[in-house]
Amino acid sequence: MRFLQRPNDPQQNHAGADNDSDSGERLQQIRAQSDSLLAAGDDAIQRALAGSNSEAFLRSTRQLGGQ
Amino acid sequence: MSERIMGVETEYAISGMQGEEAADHSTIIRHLLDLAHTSLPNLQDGSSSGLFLENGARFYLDCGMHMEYSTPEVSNPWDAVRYVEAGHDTMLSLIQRVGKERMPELQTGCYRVNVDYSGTGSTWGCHESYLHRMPPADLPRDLIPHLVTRQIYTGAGGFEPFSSGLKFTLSPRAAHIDRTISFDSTNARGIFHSKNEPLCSGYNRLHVICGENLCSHVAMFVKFGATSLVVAMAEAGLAPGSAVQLDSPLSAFRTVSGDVTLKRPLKITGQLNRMTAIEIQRHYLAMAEQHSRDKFMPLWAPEVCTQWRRVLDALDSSFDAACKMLDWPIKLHLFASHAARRGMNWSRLPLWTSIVERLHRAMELPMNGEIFPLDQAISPGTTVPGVVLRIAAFLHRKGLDWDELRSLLKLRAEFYEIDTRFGQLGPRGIFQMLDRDGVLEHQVSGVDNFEYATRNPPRKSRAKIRGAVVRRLAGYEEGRWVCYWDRIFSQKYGRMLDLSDPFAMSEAWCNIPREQAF
Repeated sequence: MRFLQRPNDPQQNHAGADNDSDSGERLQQIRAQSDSLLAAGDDAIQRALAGSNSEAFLRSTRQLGGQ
Repeated sequence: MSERIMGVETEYAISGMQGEEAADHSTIIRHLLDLAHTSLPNLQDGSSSGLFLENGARFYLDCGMHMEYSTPEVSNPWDAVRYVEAGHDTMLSLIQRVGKERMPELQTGCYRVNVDYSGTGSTWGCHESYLHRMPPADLPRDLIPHLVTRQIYTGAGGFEPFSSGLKFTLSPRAAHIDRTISFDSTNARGIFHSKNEPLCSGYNRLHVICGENLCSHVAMFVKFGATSLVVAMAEAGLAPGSAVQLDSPLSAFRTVSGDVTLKRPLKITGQLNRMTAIEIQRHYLAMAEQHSRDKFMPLWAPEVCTQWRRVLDALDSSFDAACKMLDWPIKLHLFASHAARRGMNWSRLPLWTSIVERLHRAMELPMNGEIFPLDQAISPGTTVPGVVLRIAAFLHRKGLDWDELRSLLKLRAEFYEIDTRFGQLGPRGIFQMLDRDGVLEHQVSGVDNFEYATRNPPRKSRAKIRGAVVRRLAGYEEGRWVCYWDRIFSQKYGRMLDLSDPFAMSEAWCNIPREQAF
């Protein structure tokens, strides 16, 4: 995801290194893993929020004082 | 000393919902404590209504009506993570039983979470303790730069709880830290907590209150391991923090918690060059690696250094690696993805947050995180017409309109719920679902056996004795035996087990005068 990339991110450093097959494979692997995390994350969020009213939920976890 | 002792306190949020109605907390807590008393082998906790368990841990009701679990004293970061997880298992089992056996009409939940987003301004803590033998007054110099900068891997991720917008932060609890050093832990909290309550003889206790509840094992492991090594180096006289004294620790703490790029430099006292949080962490790591096999270091120092380096390298190079490893990068990834699914432009979040906060300040409303009345603020009858006009002109120039902000504010509670449910214990927890799906890389080899740890104490501290004695005496003349961290005694029998040595490995019973007050 571009908003998370930084100047020394290998996704950027190796963007034009087509001749570096190891880096290319690693890059593909990283991208595939990242995509699978996002897909799993979206699914997990949908399941966690299913049928929930967020404001009522936050009221139910409210702490009454102290820490 | 080459052996270290540490411990962790975890405060839990709980919920009980009947439809969309929140159930009475005190009733849930009463059932939960009753189930704990009747189903877990225990001795009465002498200083509260809680109990000490057969694994040496303490389980009790803390101020603010939340349940708290203190791990037994452990001697390495593997056990620290293991017994934190054992606490989660114990809590989850009890809250599930409350739902099934006592209040079947309720949908119950338990959460390792750090801030209350409902507007109360409260926070749930995750405190760490480290025994040491150096003068307590010398610790802030060596610890504060570490505590400020370790947020890059100890941050739980989440949202700034007092913002009227939606502001992502590495460490949501950082908003509750408002001074550099404090004695208090429930108000006016400091980066460095100066209270020294050893609960044993011959040692001092560093009590860290600026940390957070985490899900990632490697984040927890490095948090406990690295902080232990910094304490060990300070104790050995290496002054690990002296070369990285921060000009303004509190300001630096806020800078680090708000900087997802990890690039913002921090001003170092007496130096022209500034350093990033990663560079300061690498300073501590380099010193730990250099001394990792010295006599004053624990045997596990090299493995901690390996994991510490793994985490810093991940943060410093491919961010995708950190996105599967540490709490705040995982959350940032998920939040941004969810925003896109909901049609929200994540990259414009800081802009909208600054706009709503500007309106908020202009209207002089309390900054408590409650929902901002946008429609009232920009209505023809607004109390701040000049500010609204200037913002409207700015939005027009940028091709934006109020509707985007209106949508964002509507989704705010949903993002807060996602953050809270990320750390939910059990199968509905988002982190737990991701872990089950095998898409994370947060595990540390050797951090396992959680179920065993719920019933058995660690091997290398006085907790081993405490746990064995709790198991032996539990249920034997209810209430006759009382347990504290440093002793177990019975007034009736005039007997006391001395646990004042934190490394005690054998039982040392003595007679006490029956009338002696404790």
